[in-house]
Amino acid sequence: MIASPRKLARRGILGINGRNTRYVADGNPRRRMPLVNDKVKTKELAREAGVPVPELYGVIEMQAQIKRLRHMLDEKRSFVIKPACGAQGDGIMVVEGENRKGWRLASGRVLSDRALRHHISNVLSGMYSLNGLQDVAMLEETVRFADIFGGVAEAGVPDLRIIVYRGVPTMAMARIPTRESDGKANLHKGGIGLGIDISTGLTTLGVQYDRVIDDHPESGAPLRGIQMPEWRAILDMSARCHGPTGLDYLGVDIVFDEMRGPLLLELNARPGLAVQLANCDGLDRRLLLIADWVRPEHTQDERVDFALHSFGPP
Amino acid sequence: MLRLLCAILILVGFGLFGYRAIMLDFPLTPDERSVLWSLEIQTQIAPADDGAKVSVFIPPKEGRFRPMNEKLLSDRMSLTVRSGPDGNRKALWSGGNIKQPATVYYRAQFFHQPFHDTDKRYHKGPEDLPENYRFAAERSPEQQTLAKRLMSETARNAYDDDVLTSLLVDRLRTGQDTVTRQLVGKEDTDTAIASAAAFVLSQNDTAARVVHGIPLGDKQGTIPLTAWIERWTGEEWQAYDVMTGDPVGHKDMLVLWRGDAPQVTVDGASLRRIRTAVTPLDIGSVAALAERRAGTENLLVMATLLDLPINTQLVVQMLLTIPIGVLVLVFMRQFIGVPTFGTFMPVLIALAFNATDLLTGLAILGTILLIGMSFRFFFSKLNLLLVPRLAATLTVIVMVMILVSVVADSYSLGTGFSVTLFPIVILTMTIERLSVTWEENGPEDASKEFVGSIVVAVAAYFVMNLALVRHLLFIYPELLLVILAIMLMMGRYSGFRLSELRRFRDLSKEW
Repeated sequence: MIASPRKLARRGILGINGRNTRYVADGNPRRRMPLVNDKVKTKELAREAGVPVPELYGVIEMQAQIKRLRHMLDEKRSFVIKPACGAQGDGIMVVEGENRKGWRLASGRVLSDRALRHHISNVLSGMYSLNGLQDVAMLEETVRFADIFGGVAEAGVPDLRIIVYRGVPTMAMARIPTRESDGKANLHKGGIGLGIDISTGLTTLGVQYDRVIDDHPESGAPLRGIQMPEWRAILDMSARCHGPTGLDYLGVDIVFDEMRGPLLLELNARPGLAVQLANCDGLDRRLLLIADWVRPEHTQDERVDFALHSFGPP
Repeated sequence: MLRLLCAILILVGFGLFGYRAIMLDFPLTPDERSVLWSLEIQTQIAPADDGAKVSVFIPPKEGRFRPMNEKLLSDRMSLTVRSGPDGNRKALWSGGNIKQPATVYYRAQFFHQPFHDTDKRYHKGPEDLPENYRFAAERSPEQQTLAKRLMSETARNAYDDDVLTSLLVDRLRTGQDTVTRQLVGKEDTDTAIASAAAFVLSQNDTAARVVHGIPLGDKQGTIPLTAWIERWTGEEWQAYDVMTGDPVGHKDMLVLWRGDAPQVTVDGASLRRIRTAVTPLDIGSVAALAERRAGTENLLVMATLLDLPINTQLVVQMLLTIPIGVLVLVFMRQFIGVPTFGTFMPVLIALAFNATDLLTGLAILGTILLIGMSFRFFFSKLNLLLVPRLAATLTVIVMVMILVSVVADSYSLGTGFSVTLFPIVILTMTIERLSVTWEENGPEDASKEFVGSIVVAVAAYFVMNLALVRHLLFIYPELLLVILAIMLMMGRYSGFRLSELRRFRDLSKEW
């Protein structure tokens, strides 16, 4: 029923306490955390580092600015409303267009102008923000998701999560929504975590509710052996996030746009540990390898090369 | 750095604790019964024109009970206190030309020594007493003959001195024959039996003596004196109860004096009245300590929380338990991995349970949460802004609390007052968190966190309510330094949580 702690430690599995003390507390300076908690700031950082992100149409910071919504959008009628400090996709509203009755959402609902403004007002009051404090609403380009997972991701929008330690991509997984998770790529709710071999970009095995699975539990499609496109580019762009954030231990979330390719969605200073289950390997083992090897003078290419060579399937 | 800091904290904390516990005799455990009694021996004599001398036995200084704040009072009589080699103390009052009936008082408070359960080290054995020391008073030659006869009759059936003493006491108490009657005398009081037994035993060269004392218990007021005998076993004085003949521990007995002599002797006047009264002071060991501290100048003795007004003491006592509760919480979260709402919510709930009792507390919490939650779900349908919504929830909680108080009062459950002590704001935040978790992550996660919080709160409640824990922290607040050190060390614990051993169970399988 439970694992022996010694066995887990021998495989280099990282626990929450280990992550929080040795990697987050020791490697991620507190004053740099707001950079990743606030998605507006993250976007600026990413632009500086040359990492592609979904385009930002505008930011609504005060209730009074809600009136200027149409002005900010210009002629665009397809956009996403996102709380800058939200978590787990809460408060995100995807608008596809406008018709006579009001705004048409991706979910199929039609929202009146007033209801949309109310939603933005809720975002500003901090309804969806992590700490309940005042927040700002971002108006963002809608990502046209590329179907890179074939039939596996049919219930929603999958994303990639890459753990980057000191600029070295360490472990990766795809998060795939299921009908059970209500179309959200949230592993707590039944989304599938799909391990990705860092050295090749091929998917390995999946986990759902912390148990290892080989096939998609709903469609039965095999999860193993799907090739991620532009893998090197993905690793490059995730590694590039290390420098400007100044955070040693980072979770990089990436989505695939049909036209623009991989885009950085957000950064996470305390990425979860389920990635270990999906890769059937211990994070701590890899992190210690990196800590042993990496020197400040290593270039970014060297760091990615190191990852490509060192982290194969277990 | 951290290790050094922790080492220093632990060293200082335990050092102070050890010093105060061992060197200064601060109580280590809370006593359920009272440990402080006040004793008064009142002696009244008739007027005497030519002066009079009153001598009263007062309790020995050493023993299981120790006197504090001794006061010897009289009306214009001079006083001297004499100590005997066996620890007996006599107060001698004398005065000339006593016109009115005079009363002398001995008053003292007795403190139960927490560490010395045996009092043998205070009592010299026969070899340490002077040679002319008499264990039992001399009696006439006829009595000596009778004693020897009784002894030889009893000794036949006795295996050793212990059994012999018991048999002898039994025989003296129940015996109807002339031998025992003559030895005990007309009045077969326990004093008479004890003194006869001591006499018979001492005729046989066994060191035995009468002890007079009173039981210190819950009884209050005038207490009749009891007598028992002590026999020297070669190592210690063993007490025997006269009414049963059995060896006893006599833990609750305050010794007044040893030997055959009467409690009070008066020369030159007639004795009117002797009254020995005891009042148990209804305070715990903590207050006993406070009493004992009176007059000490040692800074480490002075530095206690006992000087605070009693209301403040109660608040401080509660405050001191919070770190313990938090320690439980840290353990449950960092080592076990129990999910809880907020950081300190469970401890605050535990504090609220303190005000009611556990079951009532749980019932009230359940009621408030249930009603609060249903209102919260209703509010969320109205699409309110966050702060006004919280305010509305809080108002509903206040109303529910008042309702619970009124209902509880009308059923005279007696919880009306303490209901208000439930931290309202905390409950509001709990309901908010609970319903947000419910809406976003589903009822399963919400109930997991809720159950986790309750489990931690109940665990914290039990630990915080251990009498020993409360007592130790109150008397030795320096232990907080140790708790602090433990928390600092837990802060760098990077091992697995119990919950993770289950979560990562698939990772240890295929190897």
